[in-house]
Amino acid sequence: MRTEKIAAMQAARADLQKDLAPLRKRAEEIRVALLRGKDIEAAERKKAQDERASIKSKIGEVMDRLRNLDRLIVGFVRGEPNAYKIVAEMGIFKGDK
Amino acid sequence: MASFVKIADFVEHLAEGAHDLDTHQLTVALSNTAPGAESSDPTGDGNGLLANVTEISYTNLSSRDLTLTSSSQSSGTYSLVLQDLVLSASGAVATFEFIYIYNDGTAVLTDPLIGNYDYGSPALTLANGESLTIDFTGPALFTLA
Repeated sequence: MRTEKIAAMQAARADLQKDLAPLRKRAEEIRVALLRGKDIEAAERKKAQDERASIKSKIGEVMDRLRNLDRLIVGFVRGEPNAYKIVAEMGIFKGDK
Repeated sequence: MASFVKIADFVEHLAEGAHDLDTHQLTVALSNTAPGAESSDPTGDGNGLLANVTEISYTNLSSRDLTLTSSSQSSGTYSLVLQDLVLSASGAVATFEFIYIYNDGTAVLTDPLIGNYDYGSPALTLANGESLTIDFTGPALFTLA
C-alpha cells in the first residue's frame, strides 16, 4: 500500500514535469536567440522578451503544484525504516570584495 | 552532512551564459565511480559535463528532476534553493555512491555539471519500496556572492 501510494505520487510528479518540458524548451529557445542575436530589432526583442515572460509565468504555475507534491512525498517517506537520506551541505561561490 | 563538491567549469559556464537557473531543469545523476577514478575527472578543468560521469542504470527509479523553490538574490548574495528530492525504487536499483547535480535544460551546452555529493561508504543499493531523500538543508544548493 505504501509503495503504491508513493508510486502514484511520483507518477503525478513525472506528469507535471512532462507539462513543463515544452514550456522550458520554448523559453530556452527564446533566451538563446536573444543571447546570440545582437542584431535583433528593438521591437522584435521586446516581443520575444514578452513571450518569454509569459512562458515563465506558466512555468511558475506548474512549479507551484510540483512544490506541493514534493512536500507531500517528502513528508510521506519521512521516518520510514527503509527510507535513506543524504543531507546535502550548501555550496558557496564567493568572490573577493 | 555531505559536502558540496564544486565543479570547476561551472563558474565559467555560469559567467558565459550557459545557465538560466530560474527556468532550466536541474536534474540528479547517480554514479558508483568516484570523480577521481573517471577517465576525465568531471570536477577538473574542461571536464564539467555529464558525459564525463559514469552513470548507473536508472531502471526502477523515480524521476530525478529537481524542483526549484527560488532563484533570487538579497543584498548581493544569490541563492539557489531547491525542494528536497525523494528518489524511490519500484524494483532493485543499481548501486551508487555519488550524486551529481546538472543542468538538463540549457541549449548552450550538453548537460553541464554544477556540483556533486558523496553519499559515503558503503554505497547505496535501493530495493523495491525503498527511497533516498536528498535533503537540501543548507538551506540553498549554493550561494553566489
